[in-house]
Order: sequence, then C-alpha cells, then structure tokens
Amino acid sequence: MEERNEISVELSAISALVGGISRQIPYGIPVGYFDQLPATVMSRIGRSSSILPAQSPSFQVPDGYFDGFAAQVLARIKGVTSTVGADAEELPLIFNRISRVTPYQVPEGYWEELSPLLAILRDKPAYAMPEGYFNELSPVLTVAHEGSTYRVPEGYLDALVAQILEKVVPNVIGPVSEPITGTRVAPARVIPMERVATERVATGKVLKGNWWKYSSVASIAACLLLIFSWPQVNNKKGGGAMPPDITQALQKVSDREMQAYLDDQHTLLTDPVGTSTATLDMNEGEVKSLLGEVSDNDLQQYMEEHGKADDLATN
Amino acid sequence: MGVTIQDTELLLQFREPATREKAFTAIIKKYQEKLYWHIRRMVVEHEDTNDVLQNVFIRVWNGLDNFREDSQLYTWLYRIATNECLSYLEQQKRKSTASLDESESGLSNKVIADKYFDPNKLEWKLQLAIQQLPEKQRVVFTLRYYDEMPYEEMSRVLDTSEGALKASYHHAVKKIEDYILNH
Repeated sequence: MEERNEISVELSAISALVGGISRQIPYGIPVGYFDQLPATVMSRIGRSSSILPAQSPSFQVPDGYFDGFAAQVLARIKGVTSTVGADAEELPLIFNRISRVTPYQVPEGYWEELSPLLAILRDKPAYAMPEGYFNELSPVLTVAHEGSTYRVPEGYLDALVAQILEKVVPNVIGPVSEPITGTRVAPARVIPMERVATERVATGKVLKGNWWKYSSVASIAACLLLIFSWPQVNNKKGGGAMPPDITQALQKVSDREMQAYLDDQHTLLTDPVGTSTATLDMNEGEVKSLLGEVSDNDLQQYMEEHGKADDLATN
Repeated sequence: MGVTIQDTELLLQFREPATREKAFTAIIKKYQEKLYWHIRRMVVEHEDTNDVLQNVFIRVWNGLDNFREDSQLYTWLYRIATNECLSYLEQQKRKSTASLDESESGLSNKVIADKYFDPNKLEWKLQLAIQQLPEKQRVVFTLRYYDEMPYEEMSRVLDTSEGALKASYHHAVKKIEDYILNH
C-alpha cells in the first residue's frame, strides 16, 4: 500500500483545501455493531446454505445404484421384466405354472337378471357400420379389395418363357428341339452371324460380336413395318388377324437383303449421336484450326443466333 | 505481506468442512469495518449499509470456493462490495421516480438527516460534497482518499485503467473543492 504521504502530496497538489480536511468520518454506528455482525451474517447463511457443504449435491442415490442399473434396463427391454414378468420375478416359481384365468363362475342368467339391457349389449360389438359402406365409399378401394385391376390371359405366363427362348436361343445355339411348354415351334429365321462378321472384316468394319443389336434392330424394323402397313392392310381387309401374305412376304426376304438393311441401320445405331460425339472428341486446337478463317464477329453472331456466346472458343 | 499469508491460511481453512464456518467468521471480522465504511460512504445510512454489507458477505460465502487467488482476497472483497453498492443505488433510483439530481440530493438529505450532522464542520461539508459526485468518481475518491488504495489495486477492483482513475480522481477533488468553496 502506498504511503499516506504520497497520497497527501498528490491531493495537496490538486487541491490544498481538500488536502487539509481531516479524514475522520463523521458518521456514527450503533454500539457493538461489529461485534454482532459475524453472528448475524452466519445466521443468515445458516438459514440458507450452511447446513450442507456448498459443493455437496442436493440429491443422493443409494450406494451401488448405478452398478446394476444397466443390467436392469436391459432386462426390461428384453421383456423379461415386463408387466407380467416383473410380477412373476417377485413371485415364487409355482405361480408361473398357474393360469391367470379367473376360476370364478357367474350363475347362468345372472347378467340377464342384473340388467337385461347390459346382457344384450355384452356380447355385441359397440360399433357397427352400414352394410355395403365400403362399396359406396370408394370404388377404387372395392376393386383393390377384390384383387388386381389388370388381368392376364389364361396360360400366358406359362407360355411366356418358351416364347422368349424361341426368339432368342435359336439365333445363337440353334433351334430348340423341345420347348419348355412341350409345344413344337417352327424354327425361326436365322441370321448367319459368322458370314456377317467375315464380310465386315473384309470391308474393314469390325463387328465386335454385338449380335443382340442386330436381332433388336430386326425386331424393331419388323414392328415398324407392321405399324405403318397395318392401317392400309386393315382397311382393305376390314380388320382382324394379320394377313398371311405379310408373313409370306417377310419370309421371302433374302438374308442378303436383310443384311444390307442391317448395315444401314448399324450406321444409325453406332452413330446415333454422331454430332455430339465428334464435338467431344475434338480438342480446342482442332476447333481453332477448323474455325481459323472465321472471324470472331461471325462466330459471335452465330452463337447469338444458335447458342450461348460464352461457350465459343474465339480466334 | 503478512496480511496476504493470513488470507491464504483462512482460505485453506475455509475449504476444510470442519473449519469452514470458523474461517469465514475470521474473514468477516477482519474485513467488516473496512467494507462497512466503504459502503457507508456510498449509501450514507447505517441501515442501508448493514443490508448491503450482509449481502456482500453472503455473496462471498457462496463464491469463495470459486475464488482462484489470482488477486488478493482484499481486492476481491472490495470488488464485490463496490458492485453491491452500485446495484443497491441503482435499485434505489428505479424505486423512486426521481431524476438523477433528485437522487443525489436524496443522498445529501440523508447526510443532513444524520443525528450527528453539523453543518459547520468541514468533515460534514466534505461528505455533502462527496454525494454530489457521479457514482464512479465517488468510488474512486473514497477508495483513494479514505482507504488509501493504490491506483494499481483500484484498477483491479474497478476494471478501469490507472490513467482513467487518476483523471477521475483529479476531477473529483476539483469538484469537491468547488463545492466546499461555494457552500
């Protein structure tokens, strides 16, 4: 603590008048006040918090409570000590063998005597709904209740596997001698894949063994032919089943003609997005060399008309 | 430094449950007069001072376990007492609808109402002049003038820089001088 002199000097430097005033405090206090104050304060503290140590927790748990707590919780989760099990656990084992059905019987006609009304209501459900309520509520629900909306022709699913095998397997491994359904099916027309591959190798085109593409193309072509020719045929014949002359006409198409058709379709299949593929394969240098003679203004004008100018690699 | 060692011993005893109340009683006895007068100069009346002082010691009891001895116990006690005084005065202001000037004149009236008040004595004029000061200047002046507290320690009590405290003390002394000369 600083010396009183230093403080007095400081004070006198600021104000000689104030520095000259006595530091005696003129206030009076009750006699014996400071003697009683510690007891007064301690009594106030004792009323509130001195009974327990300040740091002790307010609540206590029995010793070892948490040791078995996890096991108790797990046992209850597993249902061992559910409502019934908890009672059984506390009861002697003999009680587990005893049924909980009440053995007492009520004399016959007791409920009827007690209250005829209650006797009638006792065996009836409290709630009922009008007959046919759900049918009126929603036709959709009614149909759903009865089963699926869509129907499959009888025997369709049984013959489906054989039909698929008939269309697919003979093209690769030859005709199926005994279809699964047991029905003999005429061998389908076969596209000689080896010859196609040989010709393609000879012409510098590699087949890559994607035979299923050709079969798909053939199916699509046949479908398209049927779709476009069917209205005319239908008008002439007046509707009904496919005319046999179309089937005969298809059978008259030679393998070579079909091969030529497939070659044309192959170009379409392998290059369906040729433009975008070419764009992706070209690097920026190639683009610039191609567009080297085109001015930026022309490119800008082209992009404004056909696309975003941001995508344009200018010269 | 003997006082500090005793404080350390008292704190050790306080942390022992067996000697807890005894140690706290010793702390009260040691600091009650200093804190009482510090509070009394702020709130003037004895009854108010008694209430504030008891509240201060109850706060000390509740917080002494968390006292980390980074500062001296003496400084910590003054800090609590000062904050309790300022809170009390703030409550008094809110209770009354009076303005700040009326509140200060209320404190002056309390000085005048003291049964020992003598308007001819310079000590009483000084008390009236102190009540005219803003609260912060009043605290700084009384801690320096009566308690002879160094600025460094006062800085820890009031969380204020030493330079600001010196300036505040200077202004307070000048205002008191003006008051005494003009009354």
